[in-house]
Amino acid sequence: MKLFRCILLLPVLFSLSCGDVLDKQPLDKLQGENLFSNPEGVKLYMANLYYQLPIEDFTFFRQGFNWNTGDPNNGGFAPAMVTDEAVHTEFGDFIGNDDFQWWDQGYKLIRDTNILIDIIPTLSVSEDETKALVGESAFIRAYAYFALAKRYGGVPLITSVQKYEGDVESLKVPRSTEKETWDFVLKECDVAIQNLAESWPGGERRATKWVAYALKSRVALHAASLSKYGERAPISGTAVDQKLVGLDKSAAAEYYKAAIEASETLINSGKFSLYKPSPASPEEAAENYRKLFEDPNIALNEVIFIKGFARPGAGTGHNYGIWYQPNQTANGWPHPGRMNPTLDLIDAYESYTDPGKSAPVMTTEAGNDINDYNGFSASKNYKRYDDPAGIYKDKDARLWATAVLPGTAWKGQKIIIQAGFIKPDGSAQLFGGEPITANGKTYYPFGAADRTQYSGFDTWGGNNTRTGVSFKKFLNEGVNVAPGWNQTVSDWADFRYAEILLIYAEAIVESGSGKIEEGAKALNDIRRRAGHTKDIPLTIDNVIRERRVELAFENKRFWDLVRRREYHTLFNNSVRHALIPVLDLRVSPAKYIFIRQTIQRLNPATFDYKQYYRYIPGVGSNGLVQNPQY
Amino acid sequence: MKKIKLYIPVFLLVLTVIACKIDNYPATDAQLYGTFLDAETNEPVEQDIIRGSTIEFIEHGYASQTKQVMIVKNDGTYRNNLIFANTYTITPVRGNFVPTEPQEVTVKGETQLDFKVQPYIRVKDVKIEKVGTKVVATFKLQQTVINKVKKIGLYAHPEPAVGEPIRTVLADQEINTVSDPNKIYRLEIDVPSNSSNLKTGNQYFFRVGALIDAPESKFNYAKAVRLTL
Amino acid sequence: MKILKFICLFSVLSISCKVNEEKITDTPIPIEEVKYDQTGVLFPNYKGLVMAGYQGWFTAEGDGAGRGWHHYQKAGKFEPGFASIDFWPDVTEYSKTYPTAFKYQNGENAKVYSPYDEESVDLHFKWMKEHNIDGVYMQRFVSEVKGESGKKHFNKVLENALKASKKYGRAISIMYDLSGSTSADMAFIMKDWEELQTLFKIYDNKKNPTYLRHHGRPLLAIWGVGFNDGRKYTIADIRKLVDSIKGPTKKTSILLGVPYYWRTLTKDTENSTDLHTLIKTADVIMPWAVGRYDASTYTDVAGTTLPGDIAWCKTNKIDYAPLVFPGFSWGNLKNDKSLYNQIPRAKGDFLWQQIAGAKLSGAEALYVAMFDEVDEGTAIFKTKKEGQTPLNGDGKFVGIEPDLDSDFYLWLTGEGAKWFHGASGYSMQKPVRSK
Repeated sequence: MKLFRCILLLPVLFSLSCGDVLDKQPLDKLQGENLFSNPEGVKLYMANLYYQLPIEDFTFFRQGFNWNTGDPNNGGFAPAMVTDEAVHTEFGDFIGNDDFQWWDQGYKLIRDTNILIDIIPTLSVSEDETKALVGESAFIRAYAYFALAKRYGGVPLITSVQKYEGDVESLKVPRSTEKETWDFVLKECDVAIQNLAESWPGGERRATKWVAYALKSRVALHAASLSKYGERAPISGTAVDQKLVGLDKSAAAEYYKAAIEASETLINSGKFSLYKPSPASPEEAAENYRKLFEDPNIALNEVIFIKGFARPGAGTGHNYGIWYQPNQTANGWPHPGRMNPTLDLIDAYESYTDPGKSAPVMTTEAGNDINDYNGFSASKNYKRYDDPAGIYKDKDARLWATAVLPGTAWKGQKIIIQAGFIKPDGSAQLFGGEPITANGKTYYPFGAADRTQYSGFDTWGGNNTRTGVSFKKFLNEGVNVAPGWNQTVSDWADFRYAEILLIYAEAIVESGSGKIEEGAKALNDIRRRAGHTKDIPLTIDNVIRERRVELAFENKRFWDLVRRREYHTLFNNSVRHALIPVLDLRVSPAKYIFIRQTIQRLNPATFDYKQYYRYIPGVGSNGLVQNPQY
Repeated sequence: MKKIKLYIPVFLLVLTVIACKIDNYPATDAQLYGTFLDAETNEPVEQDIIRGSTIEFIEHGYASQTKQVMIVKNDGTYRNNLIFANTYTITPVRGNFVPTEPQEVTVKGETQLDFKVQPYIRVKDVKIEKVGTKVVATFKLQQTVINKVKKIGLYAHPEPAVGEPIRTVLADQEINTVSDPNKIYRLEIDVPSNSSNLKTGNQYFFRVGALIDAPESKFNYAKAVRLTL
Repeated sequence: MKILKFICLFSVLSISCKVNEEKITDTPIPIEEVKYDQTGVLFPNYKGLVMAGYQGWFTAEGDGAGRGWHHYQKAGKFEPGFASIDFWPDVTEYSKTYPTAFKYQNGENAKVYSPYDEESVDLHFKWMKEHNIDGVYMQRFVSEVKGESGKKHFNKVLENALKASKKYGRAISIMYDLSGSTSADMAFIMKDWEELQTLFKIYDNKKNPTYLRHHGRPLLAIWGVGFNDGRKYTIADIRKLVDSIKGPTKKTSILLGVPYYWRTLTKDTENSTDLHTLIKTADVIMPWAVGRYDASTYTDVAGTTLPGDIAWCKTNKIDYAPLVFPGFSWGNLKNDKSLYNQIPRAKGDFLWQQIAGAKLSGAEALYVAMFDEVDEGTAIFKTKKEGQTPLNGDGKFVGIEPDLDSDFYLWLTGEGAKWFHGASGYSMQKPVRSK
């Protein structure tokens, strides 16, 4: 039961990260001198703070972070599934009021960090160590308040440990304005930048000056976008009147400037570069890109901050490896195949033949019907392919590395994704039915006789893609993941240099300030790494498209739609789309045709203005002003 | 299936919680109902049943000042049969009319409360008909405020609750201009190119709407029309 | 001073401080309302009029007021680098002017005027007549007229204005500006108002046929009630003041200057329904709109506020005069160069946007802020153009757009007045001035 699990979470968490040392001490009291007098104690305490960081990794989804302890069963949901990147094989859950909450956990982390911050001046450690502690704790607090600000707007800024001395009222801190909150996060980033070293002696995965700059870039771009685009989704109410939510348009310039400066510092540092920046061919580009996510540790020049998943097990492994394998490579796991990339995302990838724009997949010779999602029409002249992935030829290498396309190989198998066939008489049989015999050969609706031999469209178990492609990014092709919880141990790249380049480009083009040529170069460097050879100009459409494809499934899209106030426009009674491969038996030998259509069994989704801010839990007792319309 | 196992306990939990709450309260004993009326014409103001104008009400006598909400039906009427007799502060909000102030209302037994409002736009002289393979709507707009009209649309759905939020097919147009009261606006839906949602021989409801460019505004509509395709 | 910034509403006043509704239990003695002789009265009603606010608070060294460079100066000095005005009055047509320490590019001395001089006020009313502007509300600053020299000054300016208003047939009314007042000042205001009536025979239709009337009674305006900016008097104080000024015979009509969000009791407005109770006892309200929007946010803000306000006033039988202003600039006053042209005039586009917005939303009268306010740069009267202003140390004077005539804003306001008087041919489109 969920409730039960939540209560258990705390001790579990401590035992996990603090190991044996803390087990011997009372856990309800922090004994400063004892814990912090010993460098190991500080390290352990710090490890726990890092563990609580709201990093949106493999264990994050709309119900929270670190979903790999207790009962890790989240149904195979991922944040991508409430965006236009993907849908779940089986369920259509969109964003509910209780989703993407992080209030109690946020203030717990802040309190734990404040305990450390308050105690730093009393510690007898070297000046360098003090500086590092000051920097790290500021970084953690910035990270935490960023997670709060993007959910709730202005929040109470608690900067030292509150002590209960008999008066609850005195502990109640009102919300600061949204502007003050973002400014506070940026200020904390600056404290981190000023105090952190460029690296740790042992190369530990801890915050550095550069990680702090990366965080600042992300934060500033977020705040800038909110300022610029807040008016796209006006809301009203007490929280708006008191400026607890909402940023003035006039603030955009300073935030974009901060984003440019922070990302430019990283770029000019000379410490970072893209992993394998000039591939010889799109095939090579695809393979480089795939490997980068299979194991980000191979690309320490690109990856600025990594969260590790060290060993299989609760709290230390994750579940991408079981949930998202194509059905054919389930390896005994009962419910694979759950991440289904949409046609909406597929369309966004450029074509090498016509770079600089999205390349919607043309399914007919006429090519004038990309908005026709009505299904098969016998009167249309569909393009026919021998190769079931033929229609994807010339599409950006990153599509091939992000999704398992029909007919391509994965873990030594040919992945079969087929929605049905067009019978020789010209009628369509889609999404099931009996096999038929044509030209002396038996054809199966889903491309094979046995349900372990295909990966698409069969509704059985909710294990087969309903969009026409399966998922690949982050999955390790060389590892057969054991069919159990938390068995995947690939690491999560929280900040990549590619994101920094994209922040830089976006801030320049959105603010109309900064070095436009450098911004264009940032954009095109990423494209070149993906096998493109022709540069495109720096425009906001080009930057956003590039973010969509380069950062797909890295849990950025949700916040991009939020910060740019595009969610309500994109999801307004909106359906998402599939590209279904169908075997055309009207010709012999049979060939594949593709049909653009609405995803089966998926309801339209709508995003309300109010959802740009989450509700604040517990206003009845904490006395805070609630966000509008909750 | 794993998935179902996962959700059952949650549902049970939720159900239990709700059940407990209801047990602790006395039953509701009053009803509140009424209509949004155009203050000038006294006609009902057409609405959307989801994501449309909302009525917020706060029951007096509780420190929490919790806002509850009622929705409005497409024809501009609303009804709440599960309300306690008491004094309330009631405010229609985020509507398709000029914002109005909260009012204090005593609800007891069957209480009628109509809202006289100034709709942002009156959609007038509407004609929706089938012309060949198209459904064609023509109409005029009379706006009552100085803001621009952001968008006009023709919406289709099998149910009479059709509107911008409830539609399977639409033809809309951003106009972003102050409308000309004499202009005849025209929108059309091509039936064959929407064959998966509009099937020949079936009946559908069509409705014309227009959205003013004001903060948190909602669509204004004419009445829905039923057509057999 | 009417301050631009509105302070965020933090205090949610509980309803417990609500004034107890006076429940009159004893039988009211019927009191006959006072009836005025309306013979010869030129402005029996505010409806249809476009009137501006008249500060009249400037003085010049040597004008006889003995107040130095009042409202021109800063920190006791009126010299380059020390000025509180952003716009420089164009004094070409004034018969009496005063040289200052400011110089033009060509070395020529810059001059200003003083409303203490009858001739200057006369000229202002002459301009009003030329441009069809109906008249002005003479500002009476309680904090100033409490003192001897202030009273002397403002009485002199009022005397000048009453005289000029008769000469040019322009409407005139008095507006108390309560900024800086305290609860204790209410008694002073009542006394001052009695004094003015005797001194200037304001209620006398023969002596003052141009004094504005409304609902058959002379109109007095009281500005500054319901703002949540920490004033030292309350809504209840104003309620008492209004009751006492009207008296049982309702001898005066009252215009109340209220904050912009008076109806919803949010943002700049005290969250107290007492304000609504008070407003219902008044005759006209004028919400303070300066700084509440600029050209880009006007429609979003005012598009729904105006019709909402008008509907409320109709229901409660109150008249409504929205405020329009040409722009806003207070860089010198605030010592902050970023505040020059804080709300740009855009060659009158912004002013016309509001005039048309008010008219098309159903407003029947306008209050123009202001005729002569150069401290906050809202003046519509003749001022120097950009590029032709005196030098001002390392700061500057703003000036109106160089390709406009110096009387452009008077003319444009007058066009608005014609529209409000019922002339046809006006629309959202700013009228073009033909030469």
